[in-house]
Amino acid sequence: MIKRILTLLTACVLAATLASPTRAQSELIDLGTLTSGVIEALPFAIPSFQPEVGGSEQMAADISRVIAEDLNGTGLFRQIPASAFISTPSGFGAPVAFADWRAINAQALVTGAVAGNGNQVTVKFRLYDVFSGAEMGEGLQLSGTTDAWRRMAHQVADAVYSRITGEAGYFDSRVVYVAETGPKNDRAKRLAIMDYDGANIQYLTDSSAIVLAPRFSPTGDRVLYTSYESGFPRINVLDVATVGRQQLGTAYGDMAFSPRFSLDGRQVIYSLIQGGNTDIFRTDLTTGQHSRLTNTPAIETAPSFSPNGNQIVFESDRSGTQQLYIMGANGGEPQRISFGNGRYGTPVWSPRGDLIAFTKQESGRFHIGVMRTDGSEERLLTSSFLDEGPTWAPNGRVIMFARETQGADGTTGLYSVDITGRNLRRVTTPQGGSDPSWGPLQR
Amino acid sequence: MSVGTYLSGTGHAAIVVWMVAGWGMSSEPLPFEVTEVSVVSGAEFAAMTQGVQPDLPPNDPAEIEQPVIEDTPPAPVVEAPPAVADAPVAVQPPAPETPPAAPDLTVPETVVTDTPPTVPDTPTIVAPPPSIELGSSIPPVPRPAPRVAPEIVAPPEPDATVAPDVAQAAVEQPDAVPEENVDVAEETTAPEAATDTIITEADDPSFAPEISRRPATRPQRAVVAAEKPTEDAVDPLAAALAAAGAVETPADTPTPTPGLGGGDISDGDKANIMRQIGQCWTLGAVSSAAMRTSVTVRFSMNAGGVLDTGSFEMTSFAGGTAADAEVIYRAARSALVRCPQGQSGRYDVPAEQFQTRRDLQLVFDPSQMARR
Repeated sequence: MIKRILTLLTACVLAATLASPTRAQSELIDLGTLTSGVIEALPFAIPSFQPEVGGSEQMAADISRVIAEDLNGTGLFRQIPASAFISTPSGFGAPVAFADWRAINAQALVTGAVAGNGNQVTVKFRLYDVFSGAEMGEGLQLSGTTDAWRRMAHQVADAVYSRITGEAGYFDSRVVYVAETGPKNDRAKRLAIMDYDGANIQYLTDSSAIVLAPRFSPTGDRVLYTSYESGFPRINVLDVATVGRQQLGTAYGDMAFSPRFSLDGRQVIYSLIQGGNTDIFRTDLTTGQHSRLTNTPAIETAPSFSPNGNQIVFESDRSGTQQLYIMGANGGEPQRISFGNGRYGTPVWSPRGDLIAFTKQESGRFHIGVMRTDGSEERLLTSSFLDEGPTWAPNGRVIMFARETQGADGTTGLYSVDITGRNLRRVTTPQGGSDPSWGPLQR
Repeated sequence: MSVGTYLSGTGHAAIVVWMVAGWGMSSEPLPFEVTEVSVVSGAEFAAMTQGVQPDLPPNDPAEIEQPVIEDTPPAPVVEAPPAVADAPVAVQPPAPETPPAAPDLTVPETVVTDTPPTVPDTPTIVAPPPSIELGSSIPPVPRPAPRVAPEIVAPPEPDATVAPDVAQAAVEQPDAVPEENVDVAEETTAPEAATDTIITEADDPSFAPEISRRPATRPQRAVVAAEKPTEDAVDPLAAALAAAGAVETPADTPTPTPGLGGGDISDGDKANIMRQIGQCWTLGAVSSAAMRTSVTVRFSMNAGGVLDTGSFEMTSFAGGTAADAEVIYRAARSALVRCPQGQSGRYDVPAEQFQTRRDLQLVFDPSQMARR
């Protein structure tokens, strides 16, 4: 009996073994894992937005142009020229002839309409995935004054960028920087603020005193900067809306510079020279209390908070050469993170928290680079006679920095580059520029 | 320590003290005679000996530009001229020295004798033993000079061809034990590298099939309803196998046509399909977070490799958020739709396996392309 049961069990196992794979093979073909694709810009089409009200034609065309420039400027998208279009939408809500867009290999399609009414303007748009024939997200409508038409265009571009890439945009943001005019040995410097693409420039200070290193607050309403109005470097706080400014009360010292806000905007960390020694200090803006964060004979400067506010990255020459270190927000023993050749400086923590941008000087060349917060995976993104002062876009995808050309008549300018090292572009400014600080997305 | 050591030490110390003090040795420098000499050129020496004035530089040298002196310097104090020394008396050129007598260059007469000199016995050249030292060379052995035979002789017969191995005649040995063929592994050395770069297979992916295509499946056997055997005649193994056969061809599923469609495809065909899709999988506009997310997509192809665009389904994802997975899934869908070859809208698939609708599954994993 036992022998018969064992034989039956063995037969059942054997039958199941024979039967299962055969059935699986006949139903599903497992192709495996695809690990290689194509890294190239995504082709998109954006027919000029429809003017729904008479007189809105120019604004509709301008808004379409700014949206296309925003997307093109990222290097992630490639606009298909209108001359290649087979058809154009007859109306904002009209059915889309996807076959016509597939034929020109447009993977994304942006349609929209603009309606102006006096001082008010309304912009609405839809985004389509051409090859799946479906709309990506829902249609969106924005309203504002006619003066803010560029901001509305940037916001549409941000939405398109976010829906396609899966990460936040950065087009509706501003940059504060030092506008420079005049020859190299007698250069006038003043603070200026502009849209991320160089439009709408406004000057915040005159050129009576040298100003350096402006830094946006996390909300974008204030700017910290270093001023030589008194003959010595002091830290000022400027209100962007009123352009009013006042000197920051720092700890006692000869010179204070290189300030930066904490994530909540309530604290400022900066470098202070006391008795010829440069250390990092922190001042609480609400209580006015000062605290020393480093205390070594070395020069320690350029502090930058991590996005969570728990750590500070800074540069120090305590090892003999200029290197990057990370310490706790309240000080303590720092940990060196840069070990490559050359000198590292001006570290800035990414808004995402995963990377640190820096300036590196090696073999007579300057580079903008990024590394992990533990110092690994260092990558140099640029190389020139003088690149310095990186600042992160709000989404942590793009870095803006200042570049100076060689020679007595060398000029300064602002550039941006993707963190992959691609898409190096010059930001159009009327004069030279340095020390950029990228602000948050506007609200 | 022994007395000898003390004596030796004392003696050496005394010698050292004596050498340092220098008793008995004069430290005064030895007197030496100083003779003043002057250097003259060969032309000057010839002029002196022959009474001819050597060529002197021209008396009217180029004028030297005097520096412009703005302020008139004070008049120099005129000093008394130094006493002029007596004019040198012309020295009579010395008489030419008599040249030394030339050496006697006459060649002595050679004495020739008819008797040849005694030639010593030719030493026997013994080949040196092979040296184990590298670099040492064997002394050359003089090659014998060609000689002409006084008489013409017939050329020798060609040498007999000698077999490389000596083969003995086979002798039938019934009692002999046959030798086993033992394969001796030859010592081989690794071939020289063709390049200085090591390229592994992992770095150089190939879409060539790794295994041959499996043969087509056999036509299914018709299930024959077995007669209900008696209890004593039941064979459990045969019953189980019969049940397995019944599972293979369930009654509620369509039975594939014998010899048409169905069956798994080879790895080469899979790689070919993935290559087609990968060429269209555009990841340029994808967030870095999405680039670390892999998604598993199921889709179907109708007969002939025509994609069913309504069959897409993301069954799972890993490495990112749902939003990141949706970005990769959208890029995957777009690639699948755009990839069919040419105007036919068909994938290049093995016709034998795609004569009916097939379901496929593919994992899209862009993590290896992140931050390139």
